[in-house]
Amino acid sequence: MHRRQIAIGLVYACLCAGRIPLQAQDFKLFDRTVQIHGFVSQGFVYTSDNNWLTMNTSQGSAAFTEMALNASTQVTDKFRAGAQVYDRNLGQLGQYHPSLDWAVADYRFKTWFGVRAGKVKTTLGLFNDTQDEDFLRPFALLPQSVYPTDLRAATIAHVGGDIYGNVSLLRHLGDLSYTVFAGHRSDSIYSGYPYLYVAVRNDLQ
Amino acid sequence: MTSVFPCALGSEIKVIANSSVKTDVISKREIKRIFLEENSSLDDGSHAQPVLEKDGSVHEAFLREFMGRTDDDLQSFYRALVFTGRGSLPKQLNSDAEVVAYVARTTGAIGYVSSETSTEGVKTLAIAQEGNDSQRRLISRIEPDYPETLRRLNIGGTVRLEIIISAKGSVENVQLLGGIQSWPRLPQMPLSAGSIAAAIRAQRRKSSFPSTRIASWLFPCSRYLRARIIPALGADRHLSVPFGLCFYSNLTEAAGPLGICRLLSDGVLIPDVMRYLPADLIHFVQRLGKKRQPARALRDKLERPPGTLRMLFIP
Repeated sequence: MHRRQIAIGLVYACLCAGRIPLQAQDFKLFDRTVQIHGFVSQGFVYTSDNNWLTMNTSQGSAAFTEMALNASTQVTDKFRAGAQVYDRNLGQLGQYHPSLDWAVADYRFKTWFGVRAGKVKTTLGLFNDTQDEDFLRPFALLPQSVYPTDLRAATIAHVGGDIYGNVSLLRHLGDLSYTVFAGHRSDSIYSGYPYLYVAVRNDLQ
Repeated sequence: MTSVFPCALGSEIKVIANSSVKTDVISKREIKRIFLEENSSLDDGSHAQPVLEKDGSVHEAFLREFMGRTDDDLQSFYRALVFTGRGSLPKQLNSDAEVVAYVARTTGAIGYVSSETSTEGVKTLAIAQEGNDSQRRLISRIEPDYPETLRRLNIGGTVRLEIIISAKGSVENVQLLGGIQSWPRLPQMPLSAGSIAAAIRAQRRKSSFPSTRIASWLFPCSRYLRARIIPALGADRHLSVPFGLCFYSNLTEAAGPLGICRLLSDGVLIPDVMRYLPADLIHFVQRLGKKRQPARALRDKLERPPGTLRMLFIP
């Protein structure tokens, strides 16, 4: 009868039907090359039973759109700066409200020591900082227990800074990269708990 | 351990750079750093930026040789840099000719092309090999010549030189540290320090490749010498090699003129070990003087010197 209520196994197909990584464009600004990059990605999600991630996936949902546009420049050999605007619509999350994804000034003193500051992508786990870009994800969507996309705004970046570097180990043992970060994370009202709160409050009213 | 011999990279590709890049030699590790955008400058401080080819056999060879990752991995890596704000997408061009042209006009550009490509307007970087002795090879060799007059007169002496050898293997600087004055048995020094220096300078002027006589005397020497000098070169790009070129002729009464001639014509180079191992050297020269024991046989026998006898041979 209503086996759906206990059937929580999801079968979903998420097709990246369209993905348009824009070609790099550079131009000169004050004798420095500024690179512009962007992408648009369109997905499709279908689950056999339950709806998922606020999408109407049991009937198939294409409300899975991501896009970003960034500009960056290498000011000197050691200093670079850039920023990216990110926009998404995932079911009812995001709702095409663009947000500042990152805006970073980065000074690399040495290979083994550099400092980034601004709104910095948070290095956490393997894919936290690259989870937005579907061409960098190993799957159509990352495991939601580890990289919850509905909490994206609260996990993706912090306003603060990183200390990072790359240390060469003894020969043939490869390199060791490290990142130490500190900062403040803010949530968005278009996703995560703030969205949940607003949605529930509206329902209650 | 880094050797200093510019080696063919399986001879498929060569690494080229804009003329603004100061260094002539680059290590694989440094290339990797540049192409992975961990550094925007070389060890010597000059600006560097990578230039890639989009695909093709040259690109594949480069990835295999230097990067150790596939094209897909590298492209993902670059995209991750670009979209997390940690780097930029390097220039990627279609052909060797485009790479050469771009490298020629772009400050700090470092790229790679097929080894057959004409590289006019750019410089080709030698690759410092890391830790592989078997890939070392002799750049050039000039047999030492002993002045005929001195040979006839049975005169020899010691000249101490300090030789700076660049990471590329060329002789950068030769400085005289002293002549034979330190040798009390010879009141006069026919091979004066000045004459040697003049000879070296003349040789360097003549040769297009600066690695002339001294380097060629040093590098073809036995494994012993390599084992002693090359690791030090790896640690530092320049190395002072206090080294004596010695022609001991009338060293002992037992060493007749015949023995000495053979010693030199066989191209045996004896380091200045006199102070430390005089007994060994005298023993060696004495045996060399015996007609029944030809020098070649003796040399073969001494390829693995017994005990503390430390001789160097030019094969």
